[in-house]
Amino acid sequence: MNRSIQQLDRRRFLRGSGFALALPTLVSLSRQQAWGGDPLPIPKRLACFYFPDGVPMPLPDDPAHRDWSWFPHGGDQEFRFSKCMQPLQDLKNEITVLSGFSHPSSRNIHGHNCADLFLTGAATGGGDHEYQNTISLDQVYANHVGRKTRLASLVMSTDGGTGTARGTHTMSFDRNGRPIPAMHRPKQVFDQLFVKSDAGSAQRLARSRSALDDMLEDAVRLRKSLSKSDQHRLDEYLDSVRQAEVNAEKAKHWLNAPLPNVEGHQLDLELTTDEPRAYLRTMFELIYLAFKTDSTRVATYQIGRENGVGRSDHLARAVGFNLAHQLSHETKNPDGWKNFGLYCQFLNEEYGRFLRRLM
Amino acid sequence: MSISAFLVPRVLRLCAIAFVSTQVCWAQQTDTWQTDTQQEESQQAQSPSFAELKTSGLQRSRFKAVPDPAAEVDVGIDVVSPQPDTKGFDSSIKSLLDRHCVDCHGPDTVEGNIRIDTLDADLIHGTDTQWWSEVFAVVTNGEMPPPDSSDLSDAERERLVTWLSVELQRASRVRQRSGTRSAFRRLTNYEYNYALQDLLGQPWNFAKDLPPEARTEEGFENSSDRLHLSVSQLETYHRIARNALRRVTASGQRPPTRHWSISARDAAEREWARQDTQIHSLEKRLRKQPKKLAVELERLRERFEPHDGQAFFLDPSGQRKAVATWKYHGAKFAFAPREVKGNASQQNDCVAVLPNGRNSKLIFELGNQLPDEGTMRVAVRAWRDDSESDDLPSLQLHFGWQASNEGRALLRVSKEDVSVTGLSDRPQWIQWDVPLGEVYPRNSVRKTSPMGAMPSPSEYIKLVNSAVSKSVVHVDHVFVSAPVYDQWPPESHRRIFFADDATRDETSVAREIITTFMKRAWRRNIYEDEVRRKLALFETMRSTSDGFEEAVLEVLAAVLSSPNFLYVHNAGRESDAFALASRLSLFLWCSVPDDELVSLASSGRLTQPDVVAAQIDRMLADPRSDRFIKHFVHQWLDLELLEFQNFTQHQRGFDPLLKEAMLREAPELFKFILRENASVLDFLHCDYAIVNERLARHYGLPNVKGNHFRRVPLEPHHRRGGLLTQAGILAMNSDWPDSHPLKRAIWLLESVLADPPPPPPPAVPQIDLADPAIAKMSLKERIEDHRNHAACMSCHVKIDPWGIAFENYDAMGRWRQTIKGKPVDASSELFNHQTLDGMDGLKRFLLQNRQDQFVRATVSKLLTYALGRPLTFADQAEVDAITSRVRRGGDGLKTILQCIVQSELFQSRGITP
Repeated sequence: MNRSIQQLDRRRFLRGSGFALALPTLVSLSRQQAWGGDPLPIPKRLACFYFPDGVPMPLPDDPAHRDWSWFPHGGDQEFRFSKCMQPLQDLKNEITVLSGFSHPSSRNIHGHNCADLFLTGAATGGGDHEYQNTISLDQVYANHVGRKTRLASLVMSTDGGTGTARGTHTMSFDRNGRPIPAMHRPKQVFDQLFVKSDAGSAQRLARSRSALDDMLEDAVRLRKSLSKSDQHRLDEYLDSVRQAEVNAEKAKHWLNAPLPNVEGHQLDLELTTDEPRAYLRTMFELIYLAFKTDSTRVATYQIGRENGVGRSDHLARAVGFNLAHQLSHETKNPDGWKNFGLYCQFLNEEYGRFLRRLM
Repeated sequence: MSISAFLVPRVLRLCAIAFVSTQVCWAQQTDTWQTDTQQEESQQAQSPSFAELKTSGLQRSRFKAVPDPAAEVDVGIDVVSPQPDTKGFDSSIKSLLDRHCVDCHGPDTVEGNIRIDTLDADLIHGTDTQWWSEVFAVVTNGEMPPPDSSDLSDAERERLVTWLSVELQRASRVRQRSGTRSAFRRLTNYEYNYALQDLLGQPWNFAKDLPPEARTEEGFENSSDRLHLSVSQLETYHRIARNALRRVTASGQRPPTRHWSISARDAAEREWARQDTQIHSLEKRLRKQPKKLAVELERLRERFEPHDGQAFFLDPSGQRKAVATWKYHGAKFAFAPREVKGNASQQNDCVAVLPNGRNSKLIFELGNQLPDEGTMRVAVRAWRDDSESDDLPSLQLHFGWQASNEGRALLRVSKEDVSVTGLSDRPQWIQWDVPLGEVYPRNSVRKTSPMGAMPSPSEYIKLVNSAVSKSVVHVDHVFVSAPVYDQWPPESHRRIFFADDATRDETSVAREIITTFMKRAWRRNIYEDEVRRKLALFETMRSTSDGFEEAVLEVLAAVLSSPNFLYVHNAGRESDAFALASRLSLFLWCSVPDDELVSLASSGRLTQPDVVAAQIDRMLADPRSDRFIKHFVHQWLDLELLEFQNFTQHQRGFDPLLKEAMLREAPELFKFILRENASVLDFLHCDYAIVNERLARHYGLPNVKGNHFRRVPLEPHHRRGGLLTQAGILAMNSDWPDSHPLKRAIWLLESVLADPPPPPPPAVPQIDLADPAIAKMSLKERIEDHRNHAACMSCHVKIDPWGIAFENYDAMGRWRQTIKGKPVDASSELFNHQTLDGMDGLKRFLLQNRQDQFVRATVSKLLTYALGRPLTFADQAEVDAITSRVRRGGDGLKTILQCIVQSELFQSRGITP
């Protein structure tokens, strides 16, 4: 069953490349004012990025191999970046490039169906078979650390929303494998992070608390009528209600906690992919700000959707091409590898910029 | 540590019935032991039929021999101050154990981790009852002392077993009377789901967001010791309740219904227009080359001819055909909805011809106007071929969409396949109601992308002829309407807001609505203080709500998140009758009791035996009892194994229809046996099968047409009958592509005989497949080789023979006579040196020697499920009592249910909380 990597069709193998990184430590502005006030260990943060359609992998005897192959030449500590990753040169000692992996669930499906399972590893299949996804990596982490910050996680993509099954616009899936809609407008992201939310959530919270009080009361009364061993069983319920009240209390705190003071006017929040480089940079910047203010510790950003046909396809215009997806199909044209590589280089320029902000 | 023999206490092991006339009983039982060794010859000499074996086995039953069920409690057991018979032990039992057991289970050697000489002979006050049960089981089954090295005489064995049975029975009864074994537990996910369905009146899947359930080792999901609760689960319950209540109620105006009325001609004309365009452009292009034109036109017309398996349109003259095609680009195939339903087309116009199989594309695209929620009603006029053939086509409804190259889905939304029985002069209307809110995933760009644009927002329905044999369905008209409400506000809304009356003050209306709902959800009478608290919550919610209904729904969501709804309990202020009604409905409907049960509980009549019996009949006649069949059989037989079985795709003789049929066969057999109140021995063997066409084909049963399950008589040469030969059971206990005797044996012991083998000890040697001598061996030889290791033998000798007997069935459950060219060897030797010769021999052995064990096992499985908790030693006497009643009553499956419900354990009589 297992095929060696050499046997794999390169495009198939590389379809769907993404990177996830555990970010370096970052002392946040607002930590000193964090609720509870205890000195806490520096938090660990997780950001996951994905771009579709693969990366250039010319064969070793191709003249483009030296300059435009995505993966560095060499291995371990001794390696040399090609022009694709050149923008990360000064970060070379801080990053790890992984290669040679393929996911069993993605081996049989079409290359255009890969984003759905990048962070979930679920067998989401191809064609129009039944579709069931599972929780994504970022949400697993968010379940652990989500309550420590105002937002459990930040879910972003260039194309926004959920997309369709197998043509996802979000990398994040909840416990039941349902897509979590991604935000694509910088303004929307900014407002969620730094602008006071509506009164609706306060009201919802108040209602939940009243309901929890009532449930607790029911349980306490029921408990009196039970035998010892049954009481023990019901205690799970009581503990859960009490924990839910603690959760609601925390949520209320976040509702009332002062928002970090971030100057929005330094950013152009109305940017669209019509200005691709500025847009991409702003999206990265928003993640940086979210981490800096400890507003969340988990972020995903799907830079593009599979198979073109969408806003994200326009990102290639930052480096003078028309559509990003097309570049991956035209590698055999004159300068094809180079053109595709230039687009990847552009992505790494902005990614590198983001990494340097974190240091 | 010795690992040569492992014996662990098993709570659910055989235990004794109190014998009234032990002499008679044991004379018969002794007879059985003797036949064990002589059986092979006698079996071949006389070869009684299975039916004769069933009868003779029943006559020998130790349970049947007990004359009067009511008497058993009083005989030999002093209920007031029960005393152990330690005198009897000292005088006649101890010496037996010393002579026959202590050599291996004593101070010098402790095989299987058990020392007989230190067990407490006082079973009533001592702590060794589980070990004594174990001793009783192995001695009764003739497994101990080891048959080849024992000189235990039959009279001695009888003495030992008699003493043990009486003492165990006595000890069990004492514990039952002093015990506190209530089954306070939360509802399982599926019970919660059905309860919401029944309370709210919508057949939706409400529980899909709940985390999956744990199971007991026996496979039960509803066991009180496994049903935990966490904070995220609690929050999920509350969220589900709020969403569900909002979804089943309606606010505002009735949403407009959109209608599609599509005749086969509408669809066909589109194809013909496309054909005409192609013909015209060809004629135009080649108008100066008439010869070439003629050739090309002929070629084009051939292309218009449908291939095998393709759906096509046919005009009334029968002259013109067009393949039914569909492409998603630009939503060009979409039909526009209208305001009114319209009329069906004239029959005898164009028809769509739909052959069986998955290659046809009879798709009706409906655009982006289908609502998020509400019912989509699809009706098609259809008939089958008029020919004499008895092939029976059937229809499924699928729902799909394709937004782009990669974003698409196609889902089956019809539940049961519909057999198409109509003929051209008597066509049949087939109708499906599809809850659109339950379809997942929907086309998520349907509201953002305009029709005609990319990605495409359009959605479609597809008709599929799911028949196994070659057949066609004719369809000439399709109606689609959505959302359909038979009334507004919908029934599910009125069910909650029945007292909506603008002229009365809000609080009194709220009181009426909330009290009624609480009574149904908490399945008991509601006390005034409880109502007052809920009304206080209502006032709180009302102050922040825009409307009355919104505030009421918040309160009802709290009612559904209360432990009074989520937990089943049998104590408290309410009378036992309400708890009984709940237990009864959870047992037979997996849900809350209906109004009739609650009102019988309320009036106290439910405690009358004849009333309960009538209720069981009513409940089993209700379709809700299908849930019991589905969930019990699934858990009892561990059918999860089959669900997880991943057959290699494109395997010859396999397709998804087969797996679907395999999954249904066991529940269908159970259903048949239950409805007929047939003997549960039919599970071991019967001369009929409950199959559909796909399974019948798999089994080689001729003349079974259609996808519905029905009873089909079996002949011996079919090699089927009962559970053990069901393809699904055989397949799930295989290791695709090989059969797996060990899995089959363990399944038989665990699920069917309730006699699970002990878990493998740590550090057992692996089978070394790198050894060329082992790699060459057949599976059976490998198992035998493995068994010959000292460390493995003592366990495997008790397991392997049962599984070897299944070897004539391959990993797909097909009968076979050779494996890789060698003849199948399905014979093996049991612990007592009796030969089990294949499936036939296995069934004969079970019917001849293990009827009591099997019936008792079935009783204990059903009782475990009915009580929702693991059985303990204290329950064993009652299990025996029920088994005894069942055996005397002819082993009927329904009889078992009746006996369980009437039992002291289920009724919780005499148990102090």
